[in-house]
Amino acid sequence: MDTKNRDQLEAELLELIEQYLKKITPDHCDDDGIAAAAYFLLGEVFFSDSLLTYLQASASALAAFARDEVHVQLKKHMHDYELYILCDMLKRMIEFCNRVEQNEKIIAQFDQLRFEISDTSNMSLETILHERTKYEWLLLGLDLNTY
Amino acid sequence: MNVETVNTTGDDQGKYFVKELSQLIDMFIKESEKKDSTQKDIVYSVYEFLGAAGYKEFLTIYSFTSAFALSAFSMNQEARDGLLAVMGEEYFDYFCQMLLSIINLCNKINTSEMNMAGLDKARWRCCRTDILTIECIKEIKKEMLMYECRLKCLKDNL
Repeated sequence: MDTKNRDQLEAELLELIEQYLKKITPDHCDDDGIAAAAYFLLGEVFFSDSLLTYLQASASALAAFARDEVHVQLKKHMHDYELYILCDMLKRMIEFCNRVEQNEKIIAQFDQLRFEISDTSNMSLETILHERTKYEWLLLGLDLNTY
Repeated sequence: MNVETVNTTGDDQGKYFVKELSQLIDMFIKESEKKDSTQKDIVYSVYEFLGAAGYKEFLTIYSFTSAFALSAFSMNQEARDGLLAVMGEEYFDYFCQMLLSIINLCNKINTSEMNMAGLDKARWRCCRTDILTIECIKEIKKEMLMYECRLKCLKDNL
């Protein structure tokens, strides 16, 4: 079987998944999707703060696990491979927070969820206008990059 | 549009601006996708967090590991004291909250066919196409069959 055949198969599979997703995913922004699950993981409207606190908490926990007194106590309740998985998960959480924080598209997806599924009734008009100006500038920046 | 030009009550004004802002954000997401289709989205970031191609196993593993860790912290005073000494109370609380949120994330994704399909899509989109093995082709064919069946079920249910 040649590479073309395999690539074709992969493209067909992606097409099938796409069709399936279109049939079961509502067109509007919903609170059941992966984006919403990640948004809830990061504490909803506080996602921006959580990106930093989760990163620091994960790094701090890894530093604590490296200490003999903590490591020895944890080993009484967790197997070596469980501790290894926990450390790997924390490392991935640090990477996740860094990746999300630097990605304007993801931050925009979270902002969209903030205004569509969270209660923003307490948000002041100034904050909303500030956000609007931010997106006007971001759109302008995209337009300028075209030329 | 200027704030002063909107002749409505404060509440209506807020709703009006939120709607306008949502449209702007939507435009920005669509425009950024047009400008740079390689820019990763949130689904891809979650996919990488969940161990990339191993996400099906890691959804369960991460959920159990987080629960084991929370249980170990609650049962062992010395371990908890050691963590508190290094992390401080505030970060220890954030850490436990984060582990709890990871359990929720894993459960939410694992119990939704739609979300699993989203991760499947991320997997095959970023899959290395230079690796050509019989097992890989078999897996693709198996997945295709599964999605054909799922689509048929959806059509039959209509």
